[in-house]
Amino acid sequence: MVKIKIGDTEAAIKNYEWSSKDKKLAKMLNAMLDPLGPSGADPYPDLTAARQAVERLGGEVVEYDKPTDYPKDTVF
Amino acid sequence: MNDLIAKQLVGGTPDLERRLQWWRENFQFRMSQAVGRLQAGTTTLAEFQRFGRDELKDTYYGIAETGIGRRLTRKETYQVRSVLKEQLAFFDRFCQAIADQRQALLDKGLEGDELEDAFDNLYAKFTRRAQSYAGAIEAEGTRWAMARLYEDGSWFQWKLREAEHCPTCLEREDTIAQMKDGRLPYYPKDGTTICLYNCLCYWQPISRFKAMALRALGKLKRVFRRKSFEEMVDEHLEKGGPGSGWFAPPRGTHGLGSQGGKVRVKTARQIRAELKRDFKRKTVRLDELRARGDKIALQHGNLMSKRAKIRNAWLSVYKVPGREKEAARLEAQIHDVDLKAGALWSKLTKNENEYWAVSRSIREGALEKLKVDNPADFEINMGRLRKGREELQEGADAFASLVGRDALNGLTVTMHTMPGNRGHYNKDSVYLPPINRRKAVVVHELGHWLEDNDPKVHQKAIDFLEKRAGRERFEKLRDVTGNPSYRTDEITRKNKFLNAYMGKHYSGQHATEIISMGVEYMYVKPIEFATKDPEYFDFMYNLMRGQY
Repeated sequence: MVKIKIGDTEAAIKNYEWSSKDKKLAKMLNAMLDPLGPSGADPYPDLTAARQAVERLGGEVVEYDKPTDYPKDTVF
Repeated sequence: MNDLIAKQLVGGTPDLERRLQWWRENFQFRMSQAVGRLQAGTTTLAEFQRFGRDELKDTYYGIAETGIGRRLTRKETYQVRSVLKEQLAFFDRFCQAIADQRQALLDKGLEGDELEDAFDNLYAKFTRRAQSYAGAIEAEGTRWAMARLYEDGSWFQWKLREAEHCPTCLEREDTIAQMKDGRLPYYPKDGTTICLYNCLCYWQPISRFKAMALRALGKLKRVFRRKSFEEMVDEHLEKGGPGSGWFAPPRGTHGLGSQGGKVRVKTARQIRAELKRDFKRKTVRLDELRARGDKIALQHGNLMSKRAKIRNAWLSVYKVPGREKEAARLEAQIHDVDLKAGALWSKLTKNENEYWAVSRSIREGALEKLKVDNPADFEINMGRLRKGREELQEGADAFASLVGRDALNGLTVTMHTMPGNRGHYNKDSVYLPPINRRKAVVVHELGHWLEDNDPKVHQKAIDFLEKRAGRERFEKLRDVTGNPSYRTDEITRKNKFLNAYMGKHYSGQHATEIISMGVEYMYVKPIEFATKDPEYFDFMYNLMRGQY
């Protein structure tokens, strides 16, 4: 899970879906996501989406889980 | 013919057009009021139906008289009646459907808020339908007004206004038509376009000379195109075998080949040109929407900076005795900024939804051109996977539609969902993260599968990568992309690839990212791929058809 803060409102993205106490904010953030999902090249889609959101809207990433560790020879 | 009035009528907002609009708006207003009464329960459905029918009758006759500028003759009255009859039949059927749906909701046993929400949706349908009728009424008014202003035999050209256009309007753009018996073949907002009653197009009157010239030019273009096309085919067949231009593929390949006919398969270059030409307008629209979204986001960003400053000021005063008034003023300012930000959220949501809708329409149109005649035939084993099966299947179907049977046939791939951030591939198995939208990832990982199962495909990918980036030095992906989530051992040669990940190097592995990223871009961003990296696009286009 990745959490961001825009103004005083927090939003979190998990499994490429935004949620927030403020439904309007969650709706907007979800509308910003590509309906086809992240690229296969994306190493951490939730974090990438969160960074893009705060970059566009202003705000900050306040918390994120450690990325999953994969074996060295994994073909992504 | 009065061109000045005509131009004003069809392209501007003069008196007559305003009067026609008044009929539309009046009808819309009265119907929405009636819907309100129906929802409040102060009128019954039967009364509503009678009211709607009377309104339709009054409005249709009224707008026809306004359009034509006098009392209707007997013949004209019959004409209005025949159109009206059709509309009334629609309206009756619609009222019946609403009554049935209302009963169905009551039968469901919904209560309280749930029932209220369901009724809200139902009555919203009434309002939308009233808008549709109003659009059709305006089209009818335009028809009568044009019949009044122009004589039979006048010529018109279909023109688009600044707006997002539906395929029908785009197809009609610049087409010409001649008025016969006071009628043109179709009118804006008459419901014959995909955009239905939202149509903003108009008929521009043109001179007979211009109409003849346009018609001749259209014929000339068709003749020219046909001749050059036939010459190209003949020339090519004389030379024998595939190459540039059109060719007859060998029997058993490329769809209709099995029928032994001369199948004309378009080359990658021709497809690229078509994509660029056919989606130019929509791509421009997409760029506009992106720019508009960025502008709104920037406004939001500025508001947030302002808010942070005000908040800091507030933090410094809110506990200080004697400065309560200042703190209250700052609080009010913060509240004001939050309200403005909230308004921007709605605006941005709307913009983004439109952006993805246009993007989707471009992609679907492009995929129609890119799909192969004989899609890849393979089995998918999803095992115990339950959630999101449909989406995975859709992703796999998209992949199959892009990859020909000559490239992939008779194999089985297994799909798993695994906790984690990244999709990956290993020995005929695709592992997907448990995310909600993952069509692009499915297509990407199936690209790895395609490469892994055919040594020739892998070799082609290696050759392509070496040709493009063989002399470049390796760099860390996290440095090139600025994304620290890449591991430090992930390296690439960025080349002029659209995405630096395309040049990723797998040490000691039977893999590249050339095929997986290529097929993903073909699916997700076909126009960008075709226009910005034509060499890579052509390579993928041919490879996916088994031409290597």
